[in-house]
Amino acid sequence: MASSVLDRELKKGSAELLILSLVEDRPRHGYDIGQLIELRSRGALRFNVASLYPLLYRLEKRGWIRGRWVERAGQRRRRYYRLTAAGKKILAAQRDGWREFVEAISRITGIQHA
Amino acid sequence: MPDFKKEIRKRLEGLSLSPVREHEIIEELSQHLEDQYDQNLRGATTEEEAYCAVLLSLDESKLLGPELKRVERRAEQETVALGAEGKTNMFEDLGQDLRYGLRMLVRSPSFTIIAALALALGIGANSAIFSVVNTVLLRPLPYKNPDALMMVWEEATHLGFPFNTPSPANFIDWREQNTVFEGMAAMAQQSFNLTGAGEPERLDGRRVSANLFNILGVEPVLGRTFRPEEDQPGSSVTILSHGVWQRNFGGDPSIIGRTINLDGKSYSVIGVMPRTVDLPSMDNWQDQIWVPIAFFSKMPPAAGIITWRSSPGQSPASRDSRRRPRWIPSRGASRSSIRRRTRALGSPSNQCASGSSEISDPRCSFC
Repeated sequence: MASSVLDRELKKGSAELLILSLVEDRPRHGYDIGQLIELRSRGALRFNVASLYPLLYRLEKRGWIRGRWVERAGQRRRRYYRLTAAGKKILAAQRDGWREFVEAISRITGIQHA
Repeated sequence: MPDFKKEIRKRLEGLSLSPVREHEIIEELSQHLEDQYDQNLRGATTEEEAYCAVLLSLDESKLLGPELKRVERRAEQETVALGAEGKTNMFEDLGQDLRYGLRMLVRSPSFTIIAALALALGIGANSAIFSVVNTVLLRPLPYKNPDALMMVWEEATHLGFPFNTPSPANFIDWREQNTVFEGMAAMAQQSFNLTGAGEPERLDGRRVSANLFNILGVEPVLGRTFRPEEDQPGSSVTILSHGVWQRNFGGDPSIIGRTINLDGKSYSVIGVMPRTVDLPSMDNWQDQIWVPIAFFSKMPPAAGIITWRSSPGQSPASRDSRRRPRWIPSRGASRSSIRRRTRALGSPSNQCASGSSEISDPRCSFC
């Protein structure tokens, strides 16, 4: 029980960083973002519709990402999210914060990077 | 493909989203669920199993409704997140606000029209007020040391004219007894008929003391100003405005010394003034030509407004207290204010009528 609460909190705390990182290079739609998180975390992290989209909308409200409907030939109309200038600053700050946090935890616990 | 929109719509009930926003969310989420459904099918499950799995993920954490409610309603009350500076990019917000504002304006055309009218009236009124303030208070007179220039009138309040224009005799008296001012000059508006230079034309002009332009510190662009010996009856010299020189004589640089005909009399052109010269006037009078004022005994009364330039370190208040012409410093009293003041007083030519050329006339003497 305690472990699942910790997992949930860690996931919650890192979710913004994950999403901002994934839309840094190019715009992505929500399903793509969810798939990439699951794929790159090798199944350790998974976002469903109910948790992913409220987070996307919150980031958009904050002005860190911007969603835009895009229609492409032969494809369905999709909403792509891209990182804004404000989002880039936040991403850089969050990366630094997480790096420092992980290093601090590593120093204390002796956990080494893989 | 199952219709996931209905399922999503059910879960959004009670959020009081705008129809547009609700439609957007439903469309986006249903696409996600359809992708997920397709993927489930590719995993060799039955349609029913794939459908149930999708619905399960939709309700997995029971978070969709509450989370969306929080995001859509209370985004502005969120605490500052890690790395945030408490505000987003100003220009991005501005763009968003502008688009939102435009949508609202399009939705309410009557409000838009009223707002646009109110803005137009407000901007127009402000522009008009600023034009007046700029002309009256801010823009200095285009003369050398304008703070030292003063307009002087006779005080004839007992006759109903607190700002009366003096007679030539009074002006001469003031000038002879002056101990305060560097110089005094008189001027009187007069129209002239210009003939012999193309089409006959009626010109706004002015008779001025020979030293007027020297007092104002205005240099001609061509030729010279009047000499004292030319300020005598019978004088036949004239100075043209820049506009007349350009319009009637094509800006001819050899205009100096040329004879022109004013009111059937020949005048020799001795100078051309720069276009900035704009003397105070009672109305929309635009000086186009000047001749010496050349006081003479039968001259009509009310020679006009007198311009003084005070001597350094002295003020009109130090003058003989028994004889006090009413004076107004030119500071802040630019052309328009002077025009307004003189217009409010009525035509000076109607004041100090008969006999006012005599200095003994009580109506035109100093108060």
